[in-house]
Amino acid sequence: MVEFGFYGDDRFSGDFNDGIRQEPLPMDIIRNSEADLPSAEDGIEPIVPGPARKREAAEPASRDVTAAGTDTPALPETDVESAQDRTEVPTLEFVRFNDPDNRSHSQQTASTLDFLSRTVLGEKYDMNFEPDERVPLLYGIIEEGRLVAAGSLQNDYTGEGVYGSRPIGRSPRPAQ
Amino acid sequence: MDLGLLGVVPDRRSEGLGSALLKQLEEEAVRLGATALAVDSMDDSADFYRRHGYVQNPEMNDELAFIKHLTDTEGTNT
Repeated sequence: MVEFGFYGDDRFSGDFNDGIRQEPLPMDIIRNSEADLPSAEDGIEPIVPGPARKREAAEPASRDVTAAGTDTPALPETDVESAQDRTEVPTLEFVRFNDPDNRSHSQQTASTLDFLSRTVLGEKYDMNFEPDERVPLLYGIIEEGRLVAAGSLQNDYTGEGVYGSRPIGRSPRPAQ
Repeated sequence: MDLGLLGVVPDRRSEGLGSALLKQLEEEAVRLGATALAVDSMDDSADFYRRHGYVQNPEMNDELAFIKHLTDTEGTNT
């Protein structure tokens, strides 16, 4: 059993094999490859390859979240020092949570959407989808069983309701 | 294709996870056949997208609407 440490809510507990995580993506898994990681030139503190950060046990869930990619404060010096002391290799895995060809919306999918809405928008939104409703493709980074980052792709830009060449949901939007 | 929500848990920010995920999403979008990725950013995340090559979407009358032509990105052109 793996728990989403950030939710702090039993209904978000579950095994990733319950349906939230489909098979691993046929792409490079993020595993401490320097080539895959952002550099300091990005203006963002890069992930430090190598030993993992030693964590305090059972960090409390936090709902005080803000938008991803924001200019968050620089990593405190103490964190930088601890990063240099890392002794274990972190396990980061890029995964897709749902399948565009299977539009059944599990509770785990809903909880991932809920995580995204809270993380980005800073508050909880009810993310209910009808069975025939188009749901974004959901992706995330899992670290040691914990969802630490998530994002979504969708094709609202064209309104054609397709991801790539595959139809995935409702009919195209009516013309504006 | 649109980039929807993108988020990183608070205690793991400023470590490059957002950038790493964005890179993976861009590669996935290319794999799915997209040639561009559009995003409606928020005030505090606009710089993040600019740093990653996103520019104001000329088709949108919104300074926070960005787009990146993925085929222009080295290594992602399929």
